Amino acid sequence: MVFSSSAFLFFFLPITLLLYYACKKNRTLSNAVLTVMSLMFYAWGEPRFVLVMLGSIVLNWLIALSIGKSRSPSRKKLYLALGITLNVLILGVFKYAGFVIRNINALGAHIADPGIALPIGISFFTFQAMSYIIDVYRGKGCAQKSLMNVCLYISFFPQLIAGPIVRYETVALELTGRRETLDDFTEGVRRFIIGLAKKAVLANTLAELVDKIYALENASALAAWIAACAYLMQVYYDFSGYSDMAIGLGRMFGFHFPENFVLPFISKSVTEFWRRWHISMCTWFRDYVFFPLGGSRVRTKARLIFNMLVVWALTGLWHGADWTYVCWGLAFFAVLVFEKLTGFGKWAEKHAFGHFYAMLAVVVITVLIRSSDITFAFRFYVSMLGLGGAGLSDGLTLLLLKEYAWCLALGVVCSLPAGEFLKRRLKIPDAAWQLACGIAVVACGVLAVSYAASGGYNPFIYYNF
Amino acid sequence: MRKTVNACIAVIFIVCICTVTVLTLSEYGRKYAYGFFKSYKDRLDDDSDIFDNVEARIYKLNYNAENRLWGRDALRHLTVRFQMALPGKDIVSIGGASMVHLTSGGYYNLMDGPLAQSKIDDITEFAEKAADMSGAKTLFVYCHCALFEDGLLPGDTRYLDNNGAFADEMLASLSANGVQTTDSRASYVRAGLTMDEAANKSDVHWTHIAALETAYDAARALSDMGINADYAALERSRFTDEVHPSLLMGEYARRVGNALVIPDDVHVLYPSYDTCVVYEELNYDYSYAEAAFDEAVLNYQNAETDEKLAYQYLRRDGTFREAVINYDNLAPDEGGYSSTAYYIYGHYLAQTHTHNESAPESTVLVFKDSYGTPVSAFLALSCRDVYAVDLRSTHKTMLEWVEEIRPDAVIFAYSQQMLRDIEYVIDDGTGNDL
Repeated sequence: MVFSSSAFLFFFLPITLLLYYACKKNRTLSNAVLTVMSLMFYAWGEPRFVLVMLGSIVLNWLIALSIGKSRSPSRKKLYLALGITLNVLILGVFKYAGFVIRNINALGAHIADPGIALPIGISFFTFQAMSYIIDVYRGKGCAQKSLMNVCLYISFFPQLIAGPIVRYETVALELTGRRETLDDFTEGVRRFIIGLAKKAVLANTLAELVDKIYALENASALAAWIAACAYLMQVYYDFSGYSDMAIGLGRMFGFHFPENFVLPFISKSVTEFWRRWHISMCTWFRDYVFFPLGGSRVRTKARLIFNMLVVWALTGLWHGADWTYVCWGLAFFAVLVFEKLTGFGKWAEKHAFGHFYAMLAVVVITVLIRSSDITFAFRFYVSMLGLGGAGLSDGLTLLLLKEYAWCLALGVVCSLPAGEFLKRRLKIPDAAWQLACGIAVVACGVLAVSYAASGGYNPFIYYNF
Repeated sequence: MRKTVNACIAVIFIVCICTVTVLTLSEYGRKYAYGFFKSYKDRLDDDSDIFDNVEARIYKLNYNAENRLWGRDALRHLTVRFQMALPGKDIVSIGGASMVHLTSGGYYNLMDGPLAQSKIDDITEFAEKAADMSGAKTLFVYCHCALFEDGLLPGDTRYLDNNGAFADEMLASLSANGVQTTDSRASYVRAGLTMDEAANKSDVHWTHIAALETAYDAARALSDMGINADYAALERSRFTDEVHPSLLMGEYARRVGNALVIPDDVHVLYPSYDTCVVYEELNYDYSYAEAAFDEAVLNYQNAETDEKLAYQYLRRDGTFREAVINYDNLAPDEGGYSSTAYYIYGHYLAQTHTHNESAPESTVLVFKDSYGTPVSAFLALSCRDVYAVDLRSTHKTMLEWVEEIRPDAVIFAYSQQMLRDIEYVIDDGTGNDL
């Protein structure tokens, strides 16, 4: 189920809120409501994969309990290693088995493809599960005796299929000891509406434009650039919209999730971009992979490069089991190593040129994950260079530009801190500003709900995750 | 201040959402419940498991949530108004479709989706097997409901209109595979129809006049293929044209609202000569319990209210006008328009059989969509027995139909949507009919 669907907005959400607040006084019961509804939410898209997720939950619950009970550090380490291995195995079987076999077969082998379907959101819930056992091992949270609480942490519907990846230490206390307040609830509703508008109005409209251009056999240079830029914005509004909705929903139920996107398009270097984009995933890899490998505090540059290579190869693979994702991760690795070793990143962050450089790099690299394969990506880059045979521009490009100019312009404005700039520049009093923002949120909400209820184009871009 | 504003936003949001939920459930609750609790045993594959069963119920709930929502049309109209208010926009996206406002005043779908070669292959393979099985000949009757005149598209939207090119590619592909085809665009030219006469302004469907001219050419093609078909019976000059002015407010009106749409005249066409037709409507796949709940059954047949609720089989006889044409669908709603007037020759989901003693002896099986429905109705005047089926409303395969009917000819009366790579079913109805 997606948040921007009628089924979620008009049925799942009100029913869940009603049941939850009816049981609010009894924490066990209210958690049970959230757990059952979360499982239903997951089953809506993939009924049979609920079993996979439940299997993963039980496994991690048992391992965390074992870690918690063990007094011997070596035994704890053993349980942790076992837990991580099993989680990686689950991810490997369901997400990467087909990819690995396809590649082995490409080398001449004849292994039958097992044809295992990819459970939606497996990367998200497996990472959360790993976060649970690692944090218990590190003493950053207690092992939950209640299976239901672990189930709620891993399967909680707001962040289940598109993040943010909420680490166990962040919500360990809130699982049992949270307080729902009116302020949190209303702030959550506001955040949810903003996220819904980002997804239903901006991301879905940009997706129409992107899909139209990517479907062309031969796009003009201008069209290719428009599509590349629009796709980056589509992903931003889709992903950050989902994150906003997840954070908002979390607050409605008393949870406080971390921010996942902080104005990434104002970045002046790719390094800065990754400090602002999909923060929950970046910090997960930083804390659970990069730092254990030694992080930046290593003796040789070669070791630093190796550490970064591991992180970015895994980041690419995490996004999808395909060479396009691996290349995407490695492309970012190359740029980040360049910035780090030459100091170009820090230099760029002090100059306006950095904006142009960072966005250009991100736009160009992001083409890889929208492409069906490397050959297509290469063809698309050729089109971007104006060498695709369709010239620099054509009638179709101008038509699409005219039709979607409003969305592209709105997308750019909304990705920048334009509101704060206006408020400061025009010296608008806070009360008036809040009122204007409130009216804007209501208007966005009406439009977003209309778009969602209209049953229009509503792509789900996380099916590979 | 922010807290107060947030509280107001939350109240507005929660009240609006809950109002829609409550009113939807009060209006459609029974349909939601029925869709969820009814038996799916007959509609799933033999090797399906409990998860397939659960998935079918979720599919139906999702379908209901997307399509049976209180106030959905009003919300759609709001998104349309918003898009139309944006500067420089000629294309409106609504409900997954992109459409433009033609310079002639009508609306027009810019369709997506490439040609589904697998569907072409299905038809080709079927044609060969049907010929082997009962000697039946296959004819593909293309129902073109898109532009065939230049200069009607606003701005540069012609760059996105591939409907004509798609039709060419589809027909060329079928012909290359040895399937006989007729193209309604040629029928329009022969009959001298203008765009206004062939296409509705307020509805995605074509006009009954266009369907009649296409049926004439289809009957003529049958005759050329050696099938007994009296194509002269479909000459338009031999028909009475009963015009109901400004009555139809079809699919486009539902999408954008009546205020932005020009209503269409409805031409009720029936032979001026004497006819005696037996018309039967069958619903093999509906049980009595289902019929009581399912709108699809209730909309299209002409029977008393109590009979409608327990409806499986309907028989009417008389002239073509009395037996085939369902005048109920012309009844105007409160606004004075009819949204169902296109379906006077039958609902697309109905499975029908017409027997016309005065027509030459031949049996024709028509696989049709909503565009092909009036074509199959008119063919009743040319051939003795005409069976018409929408494959989305049956669980039998095409070959099972052939085995049962043993037709002399099989006609596919399809618009181009049926052959695009989108969710339209060719072989059986198990996917869409859940």
